[in-house]
Amino acid sequence: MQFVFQPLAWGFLLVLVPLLVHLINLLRHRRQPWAAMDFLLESYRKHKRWVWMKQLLLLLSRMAVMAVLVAMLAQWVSGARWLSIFGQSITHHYLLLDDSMSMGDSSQATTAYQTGLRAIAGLLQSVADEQGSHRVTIIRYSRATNPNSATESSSSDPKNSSSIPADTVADILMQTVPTNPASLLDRLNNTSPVALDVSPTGAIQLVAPLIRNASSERANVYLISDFRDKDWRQSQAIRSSMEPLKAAAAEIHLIDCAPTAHENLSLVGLQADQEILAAGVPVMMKLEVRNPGTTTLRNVNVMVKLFEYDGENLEPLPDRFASGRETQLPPVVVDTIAPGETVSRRVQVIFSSAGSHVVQAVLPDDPLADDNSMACVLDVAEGQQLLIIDGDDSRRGWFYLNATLNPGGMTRTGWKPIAETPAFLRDTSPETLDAYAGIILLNVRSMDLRAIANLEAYVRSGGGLAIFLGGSLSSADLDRFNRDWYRRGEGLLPLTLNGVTDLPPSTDGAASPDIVPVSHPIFAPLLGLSNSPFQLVRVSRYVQLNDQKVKSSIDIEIEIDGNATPTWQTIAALRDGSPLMIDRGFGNGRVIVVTTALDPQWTNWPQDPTFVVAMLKTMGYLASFRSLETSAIVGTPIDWRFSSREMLPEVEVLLGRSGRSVARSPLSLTATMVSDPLLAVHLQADATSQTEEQVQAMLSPGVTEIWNSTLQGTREVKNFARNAPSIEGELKKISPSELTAGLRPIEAKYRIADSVASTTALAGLTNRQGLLLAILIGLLLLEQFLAWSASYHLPKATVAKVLS
Amino acid sequence: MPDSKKYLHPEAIRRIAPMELRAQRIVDGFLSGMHRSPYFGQSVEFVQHRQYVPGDDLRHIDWKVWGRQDRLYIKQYEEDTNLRCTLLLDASESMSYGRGALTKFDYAATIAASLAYLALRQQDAVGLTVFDTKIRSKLPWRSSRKHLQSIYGALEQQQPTEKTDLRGIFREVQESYPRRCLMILITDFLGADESTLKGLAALRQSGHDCLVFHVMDDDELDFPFNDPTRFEGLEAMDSLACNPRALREGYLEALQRFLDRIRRACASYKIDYQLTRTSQPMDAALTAFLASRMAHMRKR
Repeated sequence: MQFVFQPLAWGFLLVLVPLLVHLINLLRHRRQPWAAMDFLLESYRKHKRWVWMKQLLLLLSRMAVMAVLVAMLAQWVSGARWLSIFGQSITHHYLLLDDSMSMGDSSQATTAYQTGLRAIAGLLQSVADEQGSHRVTIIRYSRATNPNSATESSSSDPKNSSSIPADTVADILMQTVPTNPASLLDRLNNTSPVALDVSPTGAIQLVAPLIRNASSERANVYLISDFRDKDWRQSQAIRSSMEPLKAAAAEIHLIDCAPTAHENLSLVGLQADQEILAAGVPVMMKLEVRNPGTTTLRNVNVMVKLFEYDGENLEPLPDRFASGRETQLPPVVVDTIAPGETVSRRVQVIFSSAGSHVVQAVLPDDPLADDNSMACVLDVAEGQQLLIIDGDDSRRGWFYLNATLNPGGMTRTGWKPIAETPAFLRDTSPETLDAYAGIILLNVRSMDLRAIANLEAYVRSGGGLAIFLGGSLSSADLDRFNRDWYRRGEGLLPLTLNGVTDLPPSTDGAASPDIVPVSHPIFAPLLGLSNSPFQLVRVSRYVQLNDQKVKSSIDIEIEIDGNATPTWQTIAALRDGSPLMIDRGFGNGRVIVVTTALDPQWTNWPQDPTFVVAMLKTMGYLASFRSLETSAIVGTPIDWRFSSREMLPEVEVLLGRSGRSVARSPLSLTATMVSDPLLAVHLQADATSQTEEQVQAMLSPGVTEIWNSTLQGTREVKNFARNAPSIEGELKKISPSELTAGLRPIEAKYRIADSVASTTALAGLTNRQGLLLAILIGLLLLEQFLAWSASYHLPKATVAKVLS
Repeated sequence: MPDSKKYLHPEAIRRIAPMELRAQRIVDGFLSGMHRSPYFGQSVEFVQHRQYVPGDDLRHIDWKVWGRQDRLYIKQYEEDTNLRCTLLLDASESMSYGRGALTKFDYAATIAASLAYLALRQQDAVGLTVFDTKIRSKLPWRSSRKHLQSIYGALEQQQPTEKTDLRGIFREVQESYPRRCLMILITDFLGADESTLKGLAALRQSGHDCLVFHVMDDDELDFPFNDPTRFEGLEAMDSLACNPRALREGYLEALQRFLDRIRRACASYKIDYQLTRTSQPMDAALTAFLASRMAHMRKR
């Protein structure tokens, strides 16, 4: 037994006082000569046994009163397990701790997560102080939810959580609450929120079978969370997941760790607004700032930092955000940002050399830190290779394209056009083609089926292909096109070719330009002008397609799924409505079909400035569909493959900065062989095989650097950026009434974490004191009854009768 | 309260040591409030005139003197003895109990003295028997005033130290008083059993009128003890250490049964019974005596 005021426990010696008083009274008998001894002895003989028993009970009750009084004064706090022998069942407390990113809210003196931990400590302490047997299970939301599923949807898939064994993810599983529960929480206290948007459904579904299987236990389920509007406004999924808890008669408690909403500013986007990433080519970075709060914010400075990984002296720097050479750009100022508004700003960055560079944007400090920073990785190459297959011996088209895409001199576009013959496509492999950012076919009249298959595989895997029809197309060429390239709508061409047709000259001069573009990324810079930029462009010949109708831009269907039906859209038409440029989706890639040749006899467009713009945008557009990711949200696995013929398999990984740690966690790995010579490094948060710190690091936003060495000994680094889910920056609260109303008919008790942490102990104490008080009152009543019974107060009627 | 009345109370009596004075004060105080004289003399031999005092019987007023002197005088005669009264006083050790103004024996002796004084004032013959296990003192019937001194002396000499044997005493008294008389028994009856009551019945059946003053102390009737007490028997060697509160109810029940038994026995034998507390004024005893005396005279 333990007491708040332990020294007062010596007061239990006072239970001997009634005994001593009794003994003293026995010794202090007054001598009284007495005449009527007969009556006294008769009474004594008659009541001797009862008198003795009542005296004993009276003495014991007085001793018990003293003991209870001392217990109350000393404030008894220890859990009395012996009470359980009176049939009290085991109470199992399931503490489900929200460790999603929003729990890092530090609007108060501490974070909501720390408040939750304090609430857990308070709950366990009060539980330990209570009578009866208690067990506890503590599970964090993120552990009960497959991190991969968390990246796909905020509401986790039940299959995912049910497939996770509770014993591998629970921080504490079915442990008996000790008298001093603080030791239980040592491990949990070293954890911190992860940058995931996770729902409680996973954790609820994980404990539901545990509760169902332990039918003899009384279950209390505590959801320790911040109860944001975004998670609980539409709570059907959560409510459904709670149904088994209700069926198992579990008590559900909602412990709110962040009872008040407050202002927050989130970075919700940071990405390259340009398709080509090449050394020396300026890149426009688009950053987006969202104000999910309730007041307009002004003069928000967004810091932009570049981390360049060039030079030969690069070393892993665990104590920095990224190991690259840091350059800070002038801050981007957002004048005003209204509540609920998302503001975009563009910043131009340029990297002088190739490498896996990092761009970071940082907002001023606010209560939620994880959404104040975003990073993206730009894998900048010295130049992007473009494969140009020219079927024209005159190489006229090649000349125009090369002059457009790689003008030379001080002008750098980032493109490196490489000319090959159609036979190259026949003899190459799809893997070789993957090295090219795009492929352009110029005046190709016929192609081997294997070459066409290679092209289809290339495009289907996300590659971009531009086909400039033209040259001296015979009817046999047209038939081959319609048979091999159209393939009844399943080939690279969206339509069959009818033949070469001349476009009659315009009768109204410049009033009707020969090229009429529609709204499309390729022509975005050329639209919206007061006059058409294509006034001077003339198209005199083109390849007529079967479908002369220009599809409306509204009908655009961009399908990335390879199994989807190929779609197409006319993005530029001729004056007579015939398609000039068609954008066709094919697998994961795109095909741009241009129905005129880059030949002065067909059109003068290559000599017009708009051609440069259109071609650069076309190449960028085509290359964008196979671009590697620049960033992903936290929890997305990292899968990097490289050739064993170039790199050593041993890699050193610097994970992102986790929680409250200052330095980033290093991790040494050996790449596994996927298929010779391909090696792979796979990084994924896995609580079963990784340390808590590593899991925390993998579920934290930041840059993961994979360092390895070439066979020549040169150090190389490959970066991956993982950012916090922007939705977690929405800190709007749901009111307690709405929260509980949304869960009905499931009854849940709402409490604030601070009050839980501070009052449950008091409540436990109060309960104990109340219990002791009740016992004391009972004992006092018993004592009074026994005293009355032992003293045999003379009934008034008896007295009157005697006197009469 | 008139001064004459105050001596009816034990507290006042306690301060008067001589038994003679006690009896005189009590009886005077008792008689001073009566409207009719308790004297019933039948003699015709004139003795003297006495000035009328309220309470005197108007039949004894000498109207001739009133006619001559315009003053009320009553005629007093030498009266004959018209009652034989035997006082039986229990002097056993149990009678020595008393935590109040008077012990039971003091109270009983005072009653006896007062009754003797009252009886002798009206020319009754008074005898006294003081007893415990046996008769300790016995005075024969006398009606002279000098006899009072003997009675007082006998009462003052007694110290209650022995046990009591009421049945034996009754038998002995019955044998030693063959002539019918008014037997006034003053006792606490402690130790009395059925045979005792039968002895009393036999006494009654032998023709004596009996008047019983059952003297009990307040403590014995109320048992007011609270503290742990060792009760030591006065007439027995028994002792009992106990918490009196625990035994009070049983004690009172036993006492009540005892009192009821005596009361029922007296009633069945036509014996006047008077339960007297030692804290009560004496007039109750004297009133009971006069009532019994009148009943006895009528029967004669």
